[in-house]
Order: sequence, then C-alpha cells, then structure tokens
Amino acid sequence: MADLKTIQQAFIDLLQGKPSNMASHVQNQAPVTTNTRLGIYQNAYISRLRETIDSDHPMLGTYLGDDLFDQMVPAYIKQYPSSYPSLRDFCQHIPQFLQNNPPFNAHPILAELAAFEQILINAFDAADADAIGPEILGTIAPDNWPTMKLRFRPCVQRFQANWNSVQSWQMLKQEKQPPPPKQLETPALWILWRNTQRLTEFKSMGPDEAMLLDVALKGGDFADMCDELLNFHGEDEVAMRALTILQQWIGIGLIGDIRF
Amino acid sequence: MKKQNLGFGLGLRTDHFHHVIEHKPKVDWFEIISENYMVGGGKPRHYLETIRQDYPIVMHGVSMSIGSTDPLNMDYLKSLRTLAAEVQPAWISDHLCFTTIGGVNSHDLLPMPYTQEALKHVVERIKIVQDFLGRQMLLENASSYLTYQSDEMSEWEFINQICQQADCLMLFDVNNIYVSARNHGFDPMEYVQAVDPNRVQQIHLAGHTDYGDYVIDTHDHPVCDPVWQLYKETIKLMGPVSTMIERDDNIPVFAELEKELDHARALSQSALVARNLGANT
Repeated sequence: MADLKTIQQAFIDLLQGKPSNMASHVQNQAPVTTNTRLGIYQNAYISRLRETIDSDHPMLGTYLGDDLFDQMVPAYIKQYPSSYPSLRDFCQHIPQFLQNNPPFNAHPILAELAAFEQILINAFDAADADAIGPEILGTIAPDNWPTMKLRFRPCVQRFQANWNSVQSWQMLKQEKQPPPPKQLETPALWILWRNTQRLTEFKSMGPDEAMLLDVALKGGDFADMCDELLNFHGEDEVAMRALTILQQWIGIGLIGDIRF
Repeated sequence: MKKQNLGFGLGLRTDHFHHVIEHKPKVDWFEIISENYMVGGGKPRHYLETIRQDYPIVMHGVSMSIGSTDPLNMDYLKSLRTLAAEVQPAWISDHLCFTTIGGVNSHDLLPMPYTQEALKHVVERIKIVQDFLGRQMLLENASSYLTYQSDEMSEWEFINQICQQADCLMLFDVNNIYVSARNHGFDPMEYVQAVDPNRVQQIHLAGHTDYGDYVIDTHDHPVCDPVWQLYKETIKLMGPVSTMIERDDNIPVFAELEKELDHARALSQSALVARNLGANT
C-alpha cells in the first residue's frame, strides 16, 4: 500500500496538472467514476483560485476581457501556485507575471494596472494606527522643527505610474470605456491610504510632494525635506511649501506620529 | 474536557457586518474564518472587534493542514496564536484533512487516507499544535468525494481514534456526513451513532449541491430536509451541542439565516424532549 506522503504528492500533482498516478490510489465506487471524483477536486482547485483573482483584480479582469483573462488564469496558477495559508496573498505575483509573459508583456499597462490593484488591497488591510491631528503642530517648539521626523500610518502606499493605468482603473470602476493605453511623458505619482472611515482613498502628487514623501519615508527629517525642496522652489518658499504639504498630509490622516 | 454549550450561532460574513452591529440580532455566538482576520487591520478587524464586544466568538481555520506530510507551518500557527490572543475565542477549530504538500497550498480540504500511519501522523501533529496554542482544539470531519485503496478503517473509527489519542474535540459537521454518505454509499446514522458524543463540542449545518449520483459541499444553499433530520437524530443521541449554520456563498439576507437558525433551535428542542422521554421509558 502507498504511504501517506506518496498519496498526498500524487494528489497535489493531479491538481497542478502534472503527471500523477492518483487514480490508482482511489477505490472504484460505482456509479460515479474515479475520473469524475478526481475531477471534482481538480475543478474546485482551479475555480477557487480563479475566483480569488477575479475578486482581487476586478478592473484588470474587465480590462483584459474574458478571452485574455481565461488565458491568464491557468498560466498564472501554473507559474505561481499558492504557497500561502491565505488566499489573500495568492495574487501578489500577478504584476510580475504580466510583466514577464507574452502576450501580456507586450502591454505594460496591464502589469501596472495589476500593481495598482495590489496596492489598493495593501492599503485596505494594513495594520491600524491612529492619525495625529493638526493641533500637534502648534505644540512643536521652533527649535525642534528641523529634526522632526514623520511616521506614516502603515496603510500609506506610494504608487508610480508610467502609463495611464490609474485613469483606466477609474474609468473601469465607473463602468466606462477606458482610454487607449498611453505611456505618460513624465511618471504620475500617487499616494494611497485608508481614511478614518476605513475606506481606501488615493490622490495624485506633484513632483515636489512626491519627493518630500520619499525623503520622509526614508527617515529624513524636516530639514532634509526643506533641503530637497530647493530643487523645486526658492529658498524663501521652501519652509512654507513643506509646511503646507505637511498640513495636507495631517489633514487627510496620513501621519501616525512625529518623532524628534 | 468539553467546554460550555454556546447555543445557536452563525458564521460571521462581511455581508452582515453592518446588520449585526446595528441590530444586534438574537444569535448566541458567531464563528469567524481565522485566515480572513490574519491581517494587520482595516475594516474586517474593526468590525470583528466591535461585534466581539456583544457576542462570543469561535475561530474556524482552513489552512492548518494538520494531515499533511509537510512540516507544520509555524508561521501560520504563530499568526493563529496571535489572533486568538486578540479575539479570545471560546475555542479554535480546523479540519481533518491536508491542504498543503511540497509547499503548494491547494486551498481545499483534501481527504486523509484512513490508515494507521495517517492516524499516528495526525495525532502527533495535533499534540504539537495543542501544546503550541496552549489549548485543546476541535477537528472537523471534512466532506469527501473519493475513498482510498489504502483505507484500513472507516472515517468515524479514524476520527474517534484521533480524538481519543490526541485528546482533542470534534466539530461535527452534519452536512459533511450527509454529503460523504451519499458520495460513498454508507448509512449516515452509522457515523452519528459511532462518534463519541463526549468529544463533540460543536455542530455545523450547511447546504450543498445535489448532482444526483453525487453531492458537492458548496455551502451555497439552505440546509436540506435530510440534513435537518440527521441533525435531529444527532441531538437525540448526543444531547445539547453548540450548533451553527455555515453559509459561504450565495449569501442571503440576515433574516433568512435567522429563520434557519430558529428551525435548528426548534428541532434541537424537540430532539431533546424525545431524548428525555426515551431516557425515562
């Protein structure tokens, strides 16, 4: 008799469409054939993963259309079988898959659209943290401003689009026809977060705001942020511009804490 | 040892978060799918935290893969233990099955062969898990669509042995017994009568899809009459057991599930009367 490990390996091979002698481990129980019995498990495996992709990437699915989606699903499942306890993580390699596999890699907007949907999921269920309110700025002593460091809430995500992927996502969300794919002259920078009602929001950032975000995310302090702003604004404007952006970030609940 | 009877509960589903918080329905407890809450935060965790202020919660997992020949996933068990510390469930359950092999997760409840080798393997792993979690766990009988050539005993003999040797409890899924009985041609009452009632901590009721020659456990229909009948016989034999209705797909309005739960209450009540009368005659 086959041992436990042999049977289990044969079972998973069968589900993955690999050569498998699983049928030889199964009793014949009429009237239902062994093929039908195994088919129940094979169908469940594919359909469960397909539903997960469909649910996590609704706009990508619409953008691709049924034929390309049907082509993507089995290929993705084969290349990136789930190794995660939760289906929550199964789709995380889809952007990479679309970037590397024909015919999808001929259309870079697809990987970008998938990456945007992944970021939305990450913002949706990132760890909780309270946002600080604007009153905190009034409590900071003038001497402490230069060394002030921002700690963003874990839900805050940065996204760079080289194609009109976010606009396409927005149109699809509104059940409208997306624009034709177009590479942007300069990358579009977006910030995503979960608001106080626990709804995911996003907004575009100008290049100076995006640069400030990068400095702050890398652990730079307020003085570093002002220094970098000199690339965009005059010396007499940078402090006010940095403060304005900081107030906006606090206003929409991006900041969890400030440290010195 | 068995814990207290929680009464009649429902699976907590995202579709019903608002209804439960707003109306505080007369449901005795809720069961959550553990993996759905193993995230940092956000809406599901917030709603769970709110709901658990008013209702006892039990945790039900689908990814422990207790029967797998892969090593136990200690990261998963750590997440489960952390979640349990935060949710404070009345108990934790998972399925008697394997889900992962060679690191690949099927995300399905694949059936175990009922052999001495598998029995020893599962018992050893349950003991490790119970030690790690610091509590007794419940194992659910999964529905199945095939029988192995290598089987050396019945499913109920297998699960009884596991519960006894590992000193764990059982989540007795009446629908799964009906589904497996139809798929394998055994008498479901034989299963009900054979299981040690002292190990049965919780009962699941659910719907399935009937394809004539076989039945698939889909949890997308109301509980059907033969399953209700089997439930009544189960309570008659076992006495009162915490009971809940599982609905995972085609989820109806909350009132419909409450109605099904009321039916479970009524059936349980009449089964207990019959049980007491039988005991007195």
